[in-house]
Amino acid sequence: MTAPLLQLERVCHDYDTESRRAIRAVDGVSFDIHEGETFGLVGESGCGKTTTGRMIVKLLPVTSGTIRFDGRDVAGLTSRNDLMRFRREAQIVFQDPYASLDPRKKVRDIVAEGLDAHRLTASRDEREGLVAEQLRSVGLNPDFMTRYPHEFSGGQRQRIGIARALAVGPRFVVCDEPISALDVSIQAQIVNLLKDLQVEKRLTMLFIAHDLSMVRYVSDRIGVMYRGRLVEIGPAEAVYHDPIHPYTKSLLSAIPLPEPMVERLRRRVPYRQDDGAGVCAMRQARPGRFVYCDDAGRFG
Amino acid sequence: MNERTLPCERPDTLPDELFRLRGAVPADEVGAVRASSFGFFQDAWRRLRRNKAAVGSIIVLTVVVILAYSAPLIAPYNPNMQNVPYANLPPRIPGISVNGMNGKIPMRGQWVDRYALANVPDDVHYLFGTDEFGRDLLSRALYGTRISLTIAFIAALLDLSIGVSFGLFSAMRGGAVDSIMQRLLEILTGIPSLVLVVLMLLVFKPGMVSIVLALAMSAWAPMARIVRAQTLRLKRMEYVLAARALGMSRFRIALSHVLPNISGTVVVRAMFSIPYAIFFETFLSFIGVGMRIPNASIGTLLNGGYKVFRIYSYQMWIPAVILCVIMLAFNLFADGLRDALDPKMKEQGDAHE
Ligand SMILES: Nc1ncnc2c1ncn2[C@@H]1O[C@H](COP(=O)(O)OP(=O)(O)OP(=O)(O)O)[C@@H](O)[C@H]1O
Ligand SMILES: [Mg+2]
Repeated sequence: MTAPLLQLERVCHDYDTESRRAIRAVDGVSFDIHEGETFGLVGESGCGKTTTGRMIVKLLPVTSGTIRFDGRDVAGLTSRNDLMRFRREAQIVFQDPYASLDPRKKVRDIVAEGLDAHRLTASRDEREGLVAEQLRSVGLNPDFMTRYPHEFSGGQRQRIGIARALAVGPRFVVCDEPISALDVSIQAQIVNLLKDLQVEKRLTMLFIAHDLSMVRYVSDRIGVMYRGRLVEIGPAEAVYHDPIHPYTKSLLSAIPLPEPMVERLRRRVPYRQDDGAGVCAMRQARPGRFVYCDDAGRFG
Repeated sequence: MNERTLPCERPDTLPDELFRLRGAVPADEVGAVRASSFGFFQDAWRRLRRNKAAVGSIIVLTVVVILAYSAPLIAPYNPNMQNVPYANLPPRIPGISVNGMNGKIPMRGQWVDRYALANVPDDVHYLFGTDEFGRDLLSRALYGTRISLTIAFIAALLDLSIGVSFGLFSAMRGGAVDSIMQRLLEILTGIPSLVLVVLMLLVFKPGMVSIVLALAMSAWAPMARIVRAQTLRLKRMEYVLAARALGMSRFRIALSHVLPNISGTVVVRAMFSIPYAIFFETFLSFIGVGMRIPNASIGTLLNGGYKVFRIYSYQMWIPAVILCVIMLAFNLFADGLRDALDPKMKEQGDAHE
């Protein structure tokens, strides 16, 4: 088996490191993502998913631990050449379709932003052509090029954001809750679009969401985060149908189902940490499945 | 979890029945464009035009600026030329016979025709009167307004250049550089401008140079602060993060994302700095450390006027009214501009003053 494209090793991030009230938003997270794979990262709001995603694309510094992309430590990319190459290879799609597009720029210039930053086009026509191609590939009419973001709906804006990220031809894309700000009916369209694009452009993806039910459709493997820690990693369907960690169970119990008979029987399982747990770490519970627990299998 | 009845295998596309439509409106996603609303500046322009005070101010300011800058063409006399026999003549406007505008002035309870006393020919009129040296006040008012406006525009320019780039740079760099720059700003604003101007008198002659230098030292500080605060806010926006992730340099982000998005705030702030600068110049000239006496400015006119206010009150009223009109018009215009460009800024701006 080849080395994974992305490796996180005990990665931590503290906000406000200078002040005394430092907040540890991500606490010792380790996982790998292999080439061509989609890794789903789920967890409740505020558990550190966005922070993890932004560290991976080097928008936030790593406080401790290492992130390796294609075998190289991301923190060590200091020369302009290396950094610019990394910026082309790893991209990010943001959570909020309203805040992620500059309201003063036309769609053409938004999508071409990466092309301009990397000087990938020689002429105006070429630039225009590439932008049109990108817009088409995310299912938008190339005529939208001359419009401003406020003229579009949330789903269309998210498509523009995706086009912008993919325009530089990345190998790896972090999708930070690309659908959680959207209407449910449009969520499916965006998820399907991302799946299609992944196949077509052979992308590796980190798909972040707070809702397990959607992530399992796109992900090969899922990592469940709780308060800055990964508590469970495993194949998507296995985690969904047979969760091991009580927090995952609690997360799953919160998903409403569109069937009244089942829904009547559904019970919320509140998650409470086991105070008696000893030193916890990721341990292999079953082949390919890891949970965060102590020696005796208690969950901390 | 065994009561779940969902399909176990991963389907290739999401089954539609999993998603209930919100309301009955079908999601016509691709191809539907929301009714295009007005562009930002069109919107702002419409709001500005509805503001009567702002429109009035624009008209007044346009007239004042045109008159002031065509002073060399329209001024009837040389503003610095003395003509002592014709000293202290009150305004005489042809065709108007209202006391106070017909060359008469109250002396010991009686209206006295000063023009007759000074043997001024009938066809010579001083619309604003003359001062104690017989200099034409209309010409002096025109030239004086020009000086005051020039200083004000220089102040606005300083705001836009030093203030904006200081604030932008400080916020974009962040970290230690930002801290140092902020301390520097605090020191600069800590020095009272008056002390600064008086100190500069040691080096320069009183006049434009020292006033402009004093303004250049710290008048742009509020602008720098506002730009910094706004930039720090924008820096966290996802579109700026996206630009960084795409490999755009900080410099380019500042120019292409930050600046356009704070332009409204910047313009409004620059407009507010204009009346401040006019008042600053007037004040300095009035107390005698600004423009030098033979040269006209609103401040020196006021200075000359207040000494003879008890007898020749017009010499004080005229520059005072000009100052008030200009200040008021700039303030009302800036207010209107602020409300038009950024309604949310209203409270912020008020809290800031
Ligand atoms: N700029 C910041 N300064 C200080 N603390 C922060 C900052 N950004 C996030 N945090 C904190 O870090 C933690 C993780 O935040 P993060 O945004 O990564 O969560 P998230 O999992 O993406 O949540 P959501 O699902 O709401 O997007 C939160 O507790 C948050 O309060
Ligand atoms: Mg988030």
